[in-house]
Amino acid sequence: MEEKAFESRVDLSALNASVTRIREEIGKVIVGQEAMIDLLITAILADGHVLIEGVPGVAKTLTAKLLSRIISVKFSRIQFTPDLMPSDVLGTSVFNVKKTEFEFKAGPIFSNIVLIDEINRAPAKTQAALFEVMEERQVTIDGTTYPFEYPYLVVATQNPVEHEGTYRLPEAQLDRFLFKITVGYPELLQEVSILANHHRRRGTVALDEVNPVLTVDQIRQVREAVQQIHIEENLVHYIASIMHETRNNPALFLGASPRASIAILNSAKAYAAINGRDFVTPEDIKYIALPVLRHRLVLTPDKEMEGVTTDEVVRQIVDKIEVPR
Amino acid sequence: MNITRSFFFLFLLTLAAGAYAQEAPAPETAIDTLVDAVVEAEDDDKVPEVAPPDDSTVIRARSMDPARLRQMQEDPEMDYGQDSPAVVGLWDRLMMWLVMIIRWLFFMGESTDWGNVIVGILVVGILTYVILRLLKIDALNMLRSKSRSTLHHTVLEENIHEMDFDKLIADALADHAYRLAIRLTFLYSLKLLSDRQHIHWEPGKTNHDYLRELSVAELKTGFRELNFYFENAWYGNFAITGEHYQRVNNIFNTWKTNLR
Repeated sequence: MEEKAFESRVDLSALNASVTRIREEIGKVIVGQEAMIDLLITAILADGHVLIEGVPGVAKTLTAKLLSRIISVKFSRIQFTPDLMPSDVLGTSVFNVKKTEFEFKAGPIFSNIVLIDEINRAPAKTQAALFEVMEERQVTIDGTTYPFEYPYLVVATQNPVEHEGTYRLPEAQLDRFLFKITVGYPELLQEVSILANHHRRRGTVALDEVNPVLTVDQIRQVREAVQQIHIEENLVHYIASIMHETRNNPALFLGASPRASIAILNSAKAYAAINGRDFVTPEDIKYIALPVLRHRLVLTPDKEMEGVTTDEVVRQIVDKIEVPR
Repeated sequence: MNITRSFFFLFLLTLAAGAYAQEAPAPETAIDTLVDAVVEAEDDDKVPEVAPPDDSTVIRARSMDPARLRQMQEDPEMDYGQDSPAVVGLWDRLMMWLVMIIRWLFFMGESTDWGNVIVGILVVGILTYVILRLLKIDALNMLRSKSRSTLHHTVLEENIHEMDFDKLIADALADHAYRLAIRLTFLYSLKLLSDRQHIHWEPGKTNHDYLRELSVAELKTGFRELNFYFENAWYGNFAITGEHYQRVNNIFNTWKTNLR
């Protein structure tokens, strides 16, 4: 195959080098889960928040902490609990006796990467406090707006909803997550590698082995490169057709929002970039559609009773829409 | 005997004491004296005069305009004794008929066994319908056979099995539309793979899905190359020359010889 016939029109060398290093660094700790790592990198490039879902003990929190480790920015962690108040997350005005005035004490949400552990353990009141944070990257308290520093990324983990002591996240909040990545149990050989790695480290903390890869300037640079990725008009129609189908599918009570369309567009570009292409293919869109849509769609009650999942419906939809050629 | 006499004597003594108590006047109290004085004063019309408050308000007597009064008296809306005429429209008649039917049904339900059954079925049916409507459940759909994997593809704009590729490619080359010519060559390869059942053609599948389906190594290599050129030309929007097309055509012709 002649590789030089079509040279990339966008300089993706720095991006590809960074992606390779990120994969290497995360691979030091996480065994397997290549798809999840690729989606996390895609989310960083597409400037989107990530929701990681899985049963306890499958390295959700560790993955989120690793992500914060490979980017040289500020990091904070919030453990969501049922009694957590919005002011515990956002911050609050405190009266300063010396100055005889109120002053704002910023909450843990003021950071670059915020790990919200077990996000579905807090009630809707606290979840609602994250709406402005996640969409506009700012927070308004007592009439004053406080913008966050660049970059800003929320990585949340959650246990499946059927577990005790959890709340279902509001649709408005779910829509603000670019991806929902589901983490399953490892394969047999992967489990053996996990045990071997743990034994090899002999008690040392896994996170210490991971080195930072990206700086703020580098993130800005690679994101600009992603924005230059080409997408053909017929592929834009392809994305729109998928979205349209979610809104008319009889199995779905709630279809995908225009925000989801934009999410697919941006992530497909980022996914093409990390695969070394400066243009999007239908393969990218099909691959990205599942993590973008699975948490945004709501099934009809009868489909839920039948045991159908949104993953199945998304797969049916993308298999149904004709790939443009 | 003596005891009987004693009781009789006590009885007479009790009766005599009661009679004396009824006849004896009650001793006069201070209140009784005061009441008697007031009664005497009233009888003599000797009510003490009380001076009225000093009031200089001018009191004007108001009277209603007779014409206005007459007008109001003649106004039928002011006549509260008049009954409104009963207007029974089509809707009212329909509702009355429905009420009559329901009453009849419930009467039958109370009076006969089979009526009871009908009413029960109706109530259960209505309740089920309301619940299903509220939950937006398509009950009929649930009763149908569940064929989850059945896909209904959207109508194809192009059907590769009906296209005359030789002619279309020749036309594209005549127009120097090399990008289109590469696309048509790739679609032609898909048609050939489908005709020879190397792949199962479905419009929703991507090129990489077909690559994964291919089991013959020689076909896979050539098809991957064709796909590379097609993707760069069609999705990548690179500038395509006749030289590019010629390369694709050579790959295609070599690849085609491996098809069985």
